[in-house]
Amino acid sequence: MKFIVQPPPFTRRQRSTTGIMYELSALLGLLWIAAIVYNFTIAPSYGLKAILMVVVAVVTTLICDVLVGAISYRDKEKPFGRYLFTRIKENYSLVTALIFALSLPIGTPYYVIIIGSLFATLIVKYAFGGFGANIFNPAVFGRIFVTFAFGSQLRAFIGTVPGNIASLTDVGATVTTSFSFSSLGVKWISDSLAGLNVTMGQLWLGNYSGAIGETFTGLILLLGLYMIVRRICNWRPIVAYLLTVTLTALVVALIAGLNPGTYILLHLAMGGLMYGAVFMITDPVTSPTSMFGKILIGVIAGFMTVLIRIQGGYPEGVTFAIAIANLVSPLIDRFATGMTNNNNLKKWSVILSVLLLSLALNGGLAYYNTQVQNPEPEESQLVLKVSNDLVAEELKTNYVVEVIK
Amino acid sequence: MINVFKSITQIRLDDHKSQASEADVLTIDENKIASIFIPAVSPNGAGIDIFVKEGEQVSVGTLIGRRRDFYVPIFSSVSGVVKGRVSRHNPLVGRATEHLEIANDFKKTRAEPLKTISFDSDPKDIIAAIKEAGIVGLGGAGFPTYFKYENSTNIDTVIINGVECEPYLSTDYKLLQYHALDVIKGSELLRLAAQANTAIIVLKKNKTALVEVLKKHLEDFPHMVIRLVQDIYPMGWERALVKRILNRTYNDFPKEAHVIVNNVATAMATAQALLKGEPLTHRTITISGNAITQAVNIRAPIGTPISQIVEEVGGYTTDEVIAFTGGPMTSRPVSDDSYVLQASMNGYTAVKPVSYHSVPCLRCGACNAACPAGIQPIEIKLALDSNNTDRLMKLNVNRCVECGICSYVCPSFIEVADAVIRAKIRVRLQNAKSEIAKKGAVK
Repeated sequence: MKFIVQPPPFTRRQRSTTGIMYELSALLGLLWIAAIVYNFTIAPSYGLKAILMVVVAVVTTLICDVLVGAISYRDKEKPFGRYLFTRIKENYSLVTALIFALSLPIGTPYYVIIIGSLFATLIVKYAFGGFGANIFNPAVFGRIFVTFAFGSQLRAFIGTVPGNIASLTDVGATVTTSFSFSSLGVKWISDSLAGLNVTMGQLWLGNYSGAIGETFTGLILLLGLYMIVRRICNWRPIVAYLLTVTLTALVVALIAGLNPGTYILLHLAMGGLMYGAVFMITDPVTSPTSMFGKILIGVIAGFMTVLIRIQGGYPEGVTFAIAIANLVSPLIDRFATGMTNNNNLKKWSVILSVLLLSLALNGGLAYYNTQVQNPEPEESQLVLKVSNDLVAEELKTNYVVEVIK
Repeated sequence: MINVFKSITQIRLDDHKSQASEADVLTIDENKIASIFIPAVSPNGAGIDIFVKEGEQVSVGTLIGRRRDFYVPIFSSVSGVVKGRVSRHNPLVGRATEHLEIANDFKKTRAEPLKTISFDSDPKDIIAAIKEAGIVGLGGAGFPTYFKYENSTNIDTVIINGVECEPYLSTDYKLLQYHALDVIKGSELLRLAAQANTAIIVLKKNKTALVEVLKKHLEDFPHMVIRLVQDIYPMGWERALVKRILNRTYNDFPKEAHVIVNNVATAMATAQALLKGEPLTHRTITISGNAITQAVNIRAPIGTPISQIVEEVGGYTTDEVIAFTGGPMTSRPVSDDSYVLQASMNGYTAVKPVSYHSVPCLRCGACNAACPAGIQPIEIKLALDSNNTDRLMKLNVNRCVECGICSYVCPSFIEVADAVIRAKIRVRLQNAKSEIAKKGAVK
């Protein structure tokens, strides 16, 4: 008779981290399949590229796993093969590789994918201690790294600009880039899709060119709902993030005189916002552990996303916003020390003040950019100006001048 | 309102109760018990004064000792001769302690019964009688019952806890089935002792059969009501019950919310001691788990080695088991089954070994969200790993009730609950140290 002693409790919920991570990989796989199908409709070479991009990223991260495993192999009694297998299985690099590869456009050269994956896995993840210890999301930082280092190589086409992709401009700029820097108005303040060759339906369905996985906004939203229902991810950061973006976009639209509905839908559908909301900001490793913190990073990321979109120098702000949210997570954990069911008033006021700051700052910037810096002459003003000129020269009566003023 | 900062506070567990709760309660054959062992140390580590000498003749119900910290008399559960002191493992204390060995003479002679009282007695007399009968909380804590009543004023409700939210255990269920009248009488006595208006017997929603049994007797007791609660864990926790039933919260003890909470087994023991004069000498224990041949409830004298009880019900099915002193969530693991049955033990469970391979924490916060006490288990574990005692104090470690939910929900199979329990010990040591330092400064 042998009694095995282990600490209580002696029953555990049958929900493991490994299960969660591989279910998440399967969902990302669905997104990959959607990307492959869409790219095959453009040209076979595009479809093959969509397959190979992810394969290259996955193989590179696996090689990194093996390398780091070989370096950190200490316990000589355990066979190396088995050690390596558990190590690879429990570092979930597959998820990182998939999220990273799916956030790149189709024309990204293979060497950029390899360098990005190496950076994400070796520097962002393993340098900090591997899964569970990394302070930044590897995929997000890999993406930011390649944006900075190889920005001009991240093209949404292969070779020359093909004629059959309607959503690309003549020089090959994607929808988000053309929308963001449109010559029609101020950056990110427009509710018109004119000149983009894409419809709102396409933006939500995903059959246009962009980062291979990020374009399928509707599908990603469905995957997000599934993940929330299955408790693969926490609902708080997703909901807080999308709500903050929606509210801020609403305020901006009202101030800039845009159609609020269209403007909000554009904000949610463009770029990698939905992708970031579902797959990047929900990464538990780089989020605070408290539920309060999980809401707060969503609000902070939403705030930063809109801020960078309407004021920053890059067409997109999602990855940067999530990087900032990762950065403040330890700080939020410190702030949330204590009881989880006390100080609710304090917690709500922190969340609401960040939200209000977002509304005020982004609304103020929208006002400044549209009304003060680039005032668009309105029709009535034009008419008055003309009459002003005529009247001032010929009649020169104070009465008319005052009316015009 | 839903608290978005906390989410699911209680969790439904697989209860594994059916096998033991459907079987009849067995009674151990006392003629097979050669001797019983009464621990000379109480569960909290306080000593027990022993009044009998080696070679002295005792009967069932003879006063053999009394706890030093509280006034809790200890009675012999068999008749026979005191053989002396032996050292045995005591899982409630966590180490080997001295036990008083009494050799059974199989005659079952009974000592003088205790002084009985009636429902008309003065509340003070009832409390005194509870004190003399050595009644302790039989739900698992083993806290002296008289102490709750002596030190409480303005009590308006007595809650009789029959929730039994831990998996595997079904002693309270069987007890209500067989001794419903005794439980009601005991509850009435406890209500009178507290001078409360109502006594509420709380059961789980899925135990509707018991409600029928209880309702038959309730007509004579107008101050007693039955309330049903959801089948979730940890519903049987005092704080959760007071919140759920009366919507009251308190800081340290239920008496702050004008409530006293007692277990149904305690109520029954009170009725038997105060109305029939029988001190607490026997108790029912659930023997179950998937490594036990026959899961049953069995009644045995206090002090019987568990190994004998297990043998009586058919032994184990496997050679390797994980065994623990009660339900799987809160009880302590044991390294063998040679320890003896004590008043506050309500189960012995042995399961087939399952090993959990832990992976690094993914900081999902499931433990923080699920903690019924509202503390942050994973932050406590991280602070403990980095030896940060100051942060442990800020994290309210002492609020932990060791319910085990945090380890239960952890997807990475990290021993969070174990870490929090160790953190509690660390904080207690730190507090003791700083107190000593303060005293030194005064001198």
